Amino acid sequence: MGSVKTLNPNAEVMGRNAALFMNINAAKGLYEVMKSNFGPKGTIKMLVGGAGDIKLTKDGNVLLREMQIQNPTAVMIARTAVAQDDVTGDGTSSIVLLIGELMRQSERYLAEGSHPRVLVEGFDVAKKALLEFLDKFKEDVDTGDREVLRCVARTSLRTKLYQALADQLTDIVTDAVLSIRQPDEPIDLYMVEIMHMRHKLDQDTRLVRGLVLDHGARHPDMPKRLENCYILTANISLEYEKAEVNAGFFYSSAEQREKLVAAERAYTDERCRRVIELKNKGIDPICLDMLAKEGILGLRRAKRRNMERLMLACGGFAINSVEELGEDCLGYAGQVYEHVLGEEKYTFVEDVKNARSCTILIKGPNDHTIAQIKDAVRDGLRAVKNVIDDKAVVAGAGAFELAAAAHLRSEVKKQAAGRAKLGVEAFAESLLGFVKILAENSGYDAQEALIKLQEEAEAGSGAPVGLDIATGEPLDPQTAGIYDNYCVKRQIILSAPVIASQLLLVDEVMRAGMNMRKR
Amino acid sequence: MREIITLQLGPLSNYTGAHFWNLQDEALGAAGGERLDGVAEDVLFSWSEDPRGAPVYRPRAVVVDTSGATGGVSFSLDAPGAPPDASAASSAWGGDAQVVASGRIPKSAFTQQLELQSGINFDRESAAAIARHQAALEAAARQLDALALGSAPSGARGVGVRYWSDYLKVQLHPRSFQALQGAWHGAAGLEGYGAASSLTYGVRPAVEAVADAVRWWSEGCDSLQGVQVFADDLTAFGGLARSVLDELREELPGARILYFSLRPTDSGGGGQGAAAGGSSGSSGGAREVVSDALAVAELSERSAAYVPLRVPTDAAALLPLLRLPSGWRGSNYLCGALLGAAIDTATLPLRLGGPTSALEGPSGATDLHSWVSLLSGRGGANLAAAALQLPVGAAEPEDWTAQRASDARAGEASPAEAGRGEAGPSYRLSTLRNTVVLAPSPPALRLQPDSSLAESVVLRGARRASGLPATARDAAAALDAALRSEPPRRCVMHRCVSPAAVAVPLPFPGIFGPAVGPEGEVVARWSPAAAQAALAAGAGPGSAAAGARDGRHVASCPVLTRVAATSEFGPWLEERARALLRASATAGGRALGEGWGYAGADLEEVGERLRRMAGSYADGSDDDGLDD
Repeated sequence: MGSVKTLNPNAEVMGRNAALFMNINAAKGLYEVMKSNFGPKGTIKMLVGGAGDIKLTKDGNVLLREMQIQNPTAVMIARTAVAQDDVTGDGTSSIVLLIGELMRQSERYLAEGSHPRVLVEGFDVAKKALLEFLDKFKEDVDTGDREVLRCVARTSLRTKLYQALADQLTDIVTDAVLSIRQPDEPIDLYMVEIMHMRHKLDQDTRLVRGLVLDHGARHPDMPKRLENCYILTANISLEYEKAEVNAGFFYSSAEQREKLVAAERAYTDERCRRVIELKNKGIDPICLDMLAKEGILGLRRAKRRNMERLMLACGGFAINSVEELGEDCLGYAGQVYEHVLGEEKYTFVEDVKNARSCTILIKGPNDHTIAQIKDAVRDGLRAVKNVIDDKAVVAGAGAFELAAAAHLRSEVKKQAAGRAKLGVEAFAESLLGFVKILAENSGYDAQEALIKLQEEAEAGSGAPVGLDIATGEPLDPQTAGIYDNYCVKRQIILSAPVIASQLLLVDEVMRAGMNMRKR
Repeated sequence: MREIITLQLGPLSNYTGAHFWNLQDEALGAAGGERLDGVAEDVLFSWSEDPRGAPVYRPRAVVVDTSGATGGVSFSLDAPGAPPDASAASSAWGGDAQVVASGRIPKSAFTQQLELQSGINFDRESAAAIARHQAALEAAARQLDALALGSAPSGARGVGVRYWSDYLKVQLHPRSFQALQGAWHGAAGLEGYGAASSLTYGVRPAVEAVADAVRWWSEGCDSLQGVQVFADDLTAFGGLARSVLDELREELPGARILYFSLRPTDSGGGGQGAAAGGSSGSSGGAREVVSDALAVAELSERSAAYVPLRVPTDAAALLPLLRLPSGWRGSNYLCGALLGAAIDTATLPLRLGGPTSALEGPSGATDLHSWVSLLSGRGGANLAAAALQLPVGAAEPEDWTAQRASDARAGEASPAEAGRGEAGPSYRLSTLRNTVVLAPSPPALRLQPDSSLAESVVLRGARRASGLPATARDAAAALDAALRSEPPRRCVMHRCVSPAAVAVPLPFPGIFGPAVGPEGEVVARWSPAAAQAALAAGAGPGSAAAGARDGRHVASCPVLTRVAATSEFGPWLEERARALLRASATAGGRALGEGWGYAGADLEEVGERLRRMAGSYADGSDDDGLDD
């Protein structure tokens, strides 16, 4: 440590013990924060800001986002958790908990004089063995089976919302993903629009097969409700635009506009049906007036992404110039109507023919309920998508952790050479930590529940054994329909030991040289 | 119906923005129902009706700041009145709830008074009650100054401006405020243009939220003029601004973007480290140099006009009628007030077009598109600088010939000298003397007339030497006279004259000196020496004069701004290119660039762009087609 001091007398240096202590404490600190909200019986956290604004969450990712983390070690763990969320959409709490558990267990061994390097070797062995074990443990599923998808969605949602609402949303997210799913194409979750309204109750949340836009017509005479309509998606500006080069006024689009309206009138006359149009660009008042006279509902400045969604939902394609206008570019919707809520207007496009894009309309009485449901829906969608991508699931309710710990102890530990055994043991103990937290949060004695489960697993036929949070007794997650995502577990096993190892191997912390943070 | 959407990114921008909106709001209020100053109210504000049918107006603004930067004020629709408890949680979760509450941050006395009085129907109150309310509001506004002006009564701790929301009079729409996730008020880590890339959540969520909010506002616009952006682009908000502008150019392809780069006064762009030109230079210096260069190069490319603004350190000397307290340089509240006033007046031509009385209409209305085209009409670089005179001196159209000789001399001398020099005791309307150029140094931009390429001069509410308001015609004539008496400019000029003075809102800091009258007129026989003496006397504790004229006695004030595209930007850009080159030659500078995602070659490219922009000023001066 002296060498840095020689180079830079202002450097701050922390020795090996202090550094380890700091890392373990930071990991444990985050662990304690996350611990209580793990599982379907965890506590929800209500965060109240300085202005009295409320945030309700059980989601590890949201919690990390709302916490101001300054300790560098904690920041590192938080970043890993955020990466976990980016990749899989779930498991943020789990990864923080596993890192915390690994550090806690390590602390015990370190106190007895083990060298961190020894533990790290064991972690590495355990990690490799677990990845193999996970591939054996997972259950391959038929992704066409709606029930499996529902199980995964329910497992995810029940950890975030109360049961009745979770069950209601289970069907919504499953159907949403199924409707945008195309054979042999990766699922693009952006094709599910999540729209929210401060209106009514959370139970009124529903799936709209079509699109909901957060704006309405800007002309009083435009129809409020249309049935059997054509949808034209136009990427053409219907505004007077000044020429870019000269500062003079040019009414360049007048002729174009006449043409467009004429063309539209031809269609409306012919078919006696009406056209709704969605514009990515603006429409000026004169054009709005012309459209209104023809009984056309015109919406302007739709989100770019909503244009894509609309094309997928209703058919047709976006036109970029007036000349392209033809019948084949029009889409169809059974009904289009406007909903006014105070100052806000919403436009619903429903009853489309074969929706390849849909909207989850979240309703709630206040902002924090909406935000909470939104976070849950996002995770639920990801969970369903993950199943389809993985074509596999993993038994939940702590079953995997229990089986994995048993596997580490019975097989891997025996094979591991010499001192690596310590690390494998620590890892196995850490995995059991999940089961304990689950039991504890549900109000049971952690040790007792764990032992019951272990006995059941040893006596049983090798089927996975999980914890029944309602009774504290063992249960079969397969019959209960509790499934987790394969990729979530895999990602946790991949990254948690790496971070834990890095934190353990730190033997000096210094702040020296170019200091970016301080002026 | 030529709407402008305002985008504010960063703390100083929001301090400035709050002053800007207060000035707009005050102008609305001063007009008292029927508005005759010619400002179209719906350019900046969106109007609607509340459930009771009363008109409600909200700034068409999107405001981005760190989490917690609004202090005790929440813009959410949920009334945060009741103290939250665990039972509220039960709506979407059946299990236990744990409440983690940060201490409630008290709102400022001013905001509290505003909220208290928003429920009062003033038509039904007695005159005495109204006066009482007004006095309470004024007392609360005075508290805002307490810390900033260093005249806090003993024991009054905790008052003064802590957040920009402490003095914002205007109600923001719930959609308007976006917190930057992972960045916290008062925490370090946001210094430098590219620092946002190190945020845990990156800038993507913020960029999408901002772009969506702008789209939402634009949907309500019938014919959008453009977007004006205030951004602290030497901080992480600069990198954020770049991503936001990229998104906006896709989302609103026709809209012009007028970009004000706001820089704090205490840290001059470049700093001494760069100016010294040595091999040394702390990492802070390198960070500022690289930030400055990147901001200028990348953001000017993405906007129609790029206006860097910074209150210079010698502003107190250049605006002799103001009484800036000693600590003003570090105060966002005070710097923001000057910047906000400058932006408010400089952009007035874009807002004109509303109803006016027949005789006293303002002249010089234009729109963002033409205004920006005027300033950047010479191709290539699109930078502009602004200068401010606050308050404006006496406008006398007649005696310009007499002034000419002395003014010609004054124009050659530096503005600072002209302010104090022997140009005469009178404090007169001038676009050169007693004005402060709000541009970051080095090198200091002087905005000399002979290097101007295009100018837009705005004069509001000029007053005669007698103290009476000048008519629009007289004011225009006086401005013309002043311009003629100054060294000639050979450039395109835009002139806007409005007879209505700037109404000074209550929460505007009390920075007016004793020589400024309640209508912003210059009182009695003003002279530089007398002003200094009065300043000294007024600043002394317990002086009677200070009580009567505490800087808050001014209700309205004439303001003059000059926005100019000038060839002085040539060397200014060269300086930035050179400083970047020096910084990127050091290990620290390179590491900094790489941390922000700019490899060595990228930095070279940025330097190259700066040099190209500088070159466009040098080339153009020979054949600008204006020689006659």
